[in-house]
Amino acid sequence: MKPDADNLCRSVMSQPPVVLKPTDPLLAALQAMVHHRLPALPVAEDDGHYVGMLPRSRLIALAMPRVLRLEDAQHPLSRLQGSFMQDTLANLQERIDAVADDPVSRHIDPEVPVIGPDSTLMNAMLYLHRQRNILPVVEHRQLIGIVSVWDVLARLGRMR
Amino acid sequence: MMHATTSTVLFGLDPLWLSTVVMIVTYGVIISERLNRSIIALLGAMLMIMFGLLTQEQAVAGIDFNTIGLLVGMMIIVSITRKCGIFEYLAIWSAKLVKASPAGILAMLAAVTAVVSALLDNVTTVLLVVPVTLIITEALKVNPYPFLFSQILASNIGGTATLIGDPPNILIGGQVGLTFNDFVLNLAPVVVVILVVHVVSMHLIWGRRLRASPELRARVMQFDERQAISDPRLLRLATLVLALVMSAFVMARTLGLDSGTIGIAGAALLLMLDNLGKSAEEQSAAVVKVFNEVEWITIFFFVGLFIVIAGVEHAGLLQLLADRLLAATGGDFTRTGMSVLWASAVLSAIVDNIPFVATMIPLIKSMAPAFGGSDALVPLWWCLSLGACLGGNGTLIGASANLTVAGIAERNGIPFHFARYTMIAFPLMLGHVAIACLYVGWRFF
Repeated sequence: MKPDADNLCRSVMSQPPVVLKPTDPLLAALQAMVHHRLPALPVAEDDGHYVGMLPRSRLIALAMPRVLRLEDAQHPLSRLQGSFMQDTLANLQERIDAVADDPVSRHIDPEVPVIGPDSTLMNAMLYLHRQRNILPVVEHRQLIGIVSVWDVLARLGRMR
Repeated sequence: MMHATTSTVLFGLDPLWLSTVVMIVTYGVIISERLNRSIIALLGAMLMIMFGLLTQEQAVAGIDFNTIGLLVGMMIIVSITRKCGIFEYLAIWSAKLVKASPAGILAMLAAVTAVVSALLDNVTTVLLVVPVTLIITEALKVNPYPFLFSQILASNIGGTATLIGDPPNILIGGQVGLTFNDFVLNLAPVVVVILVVHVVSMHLIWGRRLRASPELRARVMQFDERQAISDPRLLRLATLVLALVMSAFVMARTLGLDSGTIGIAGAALLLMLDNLGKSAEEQSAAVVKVFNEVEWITIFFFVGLFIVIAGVEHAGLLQLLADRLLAATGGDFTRTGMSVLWASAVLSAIVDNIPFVATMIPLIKSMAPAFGGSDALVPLWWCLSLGACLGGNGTLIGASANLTVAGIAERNGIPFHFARYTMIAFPLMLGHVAIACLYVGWRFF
């Protein structure tokens, strides 16, 4: 029995306003993210081949000392509280400057879950509920859209 | 319910050979690292029982609960204490004390690591000091490698000084009945000398060439170490309990308390103080969290090892090896001591020193008649401790603190290669053991 299309991600999917290329410099990606006020940007090759997602949390992390960014499940105490540091905005900018020309492909988050257009809507809801703001929709390795919290909230509020 | 009281060896095989095979296979798999060490130790232990080499009762009697108690107690105390931020405070404070000069920090952090290592286990110490080190070296824009290298050696050196500083000492102290004071009085003097030598050699190899601009140093000077204290109430409680535990260790003989009792009592007291006034749900959540942080892999590894060793001891293998070793040294006490020191050092650099020390303890004990009773053996324990603890510095796999630092470094983009580490660390380790050799020769033989 083929499931009804209303319960699938296809029904809430939208087109991302920007798709980054793997070779785009990181600073340009940051600026695009701020301009569109998006929580993450998808990265794909020219032919649409999906590469990954660049989340804003990654950019915030890059402005901090590397040891503070590490999520170390095995040794939770190596997750240091850095509150003793007195970094200025200039210090933070300096760290971003150091990676400004990096290709975005170097900084994509491998943990972002990928959904298909025929994944169930509930599947996407569970991810969004677990603090994911934006999900790439991929079919045959091609990025075909995104499901963002805004797409879903707009439908829930009967705005679309 | 019937307990098997006497064992019958499988197929009537020679217990000496069968137990030796079980031990060799167990140790072989431990060294190969193909299987988690706690799993293989428990499997080896159960084979000793199933093959009829030990009854269950004998196996349980082989587990040294004094050692296990001390380990678990200290792990609980440390897992609560480390959250309060005092160790980060110490590291930052010490860096500012030397006006954030890179060479000064290299020396200060080695000293802090050594002192903290003497009171906590080495892995916890480096887990606390290394992240702060990385923040400081990032701010100073200096190569973090010398700092991390120096802290590995310092943690193993510092841990040698006390009963609770390093697992080999916990094992020796627990099983032989040596007190905290025995360790401090007999080992701390030489450890201080070795630490000074270590700090000087680090300065000569790296420290004197490290430079940082005044602007970058000013950035470190602005660090506010008071902000690192995340929980002042916990800090007061933990300091109180640690002080009580240390005093109890110092007065252990007068109090008539074994180290296992002191460790567990301290853990229970700190757990109580930390949980007073919390609701039942909060208490169980907090206690579960602390118990989860006990390193069960290490505990079950010890339990399994104790049983494997009880198996070979029961079959007479260790007596046989002890006799051989005595024959090889001609029954000469000094030569035996020096052999134990150097063999422990070189072996501990290559293989896990815990199974080695755990095997050596009953082996040395069985030499007592040859040297005139167990009191006469005491210098041999210091040789074993110095060799096993200091030897761990020789290679990257010599001690768990080494691998822990290398792991954090790699994740932070600082390559830590086995060969590069060993090329510098192994000769330094031999130098440290040579100092220990002179010391024990002068003081005990």
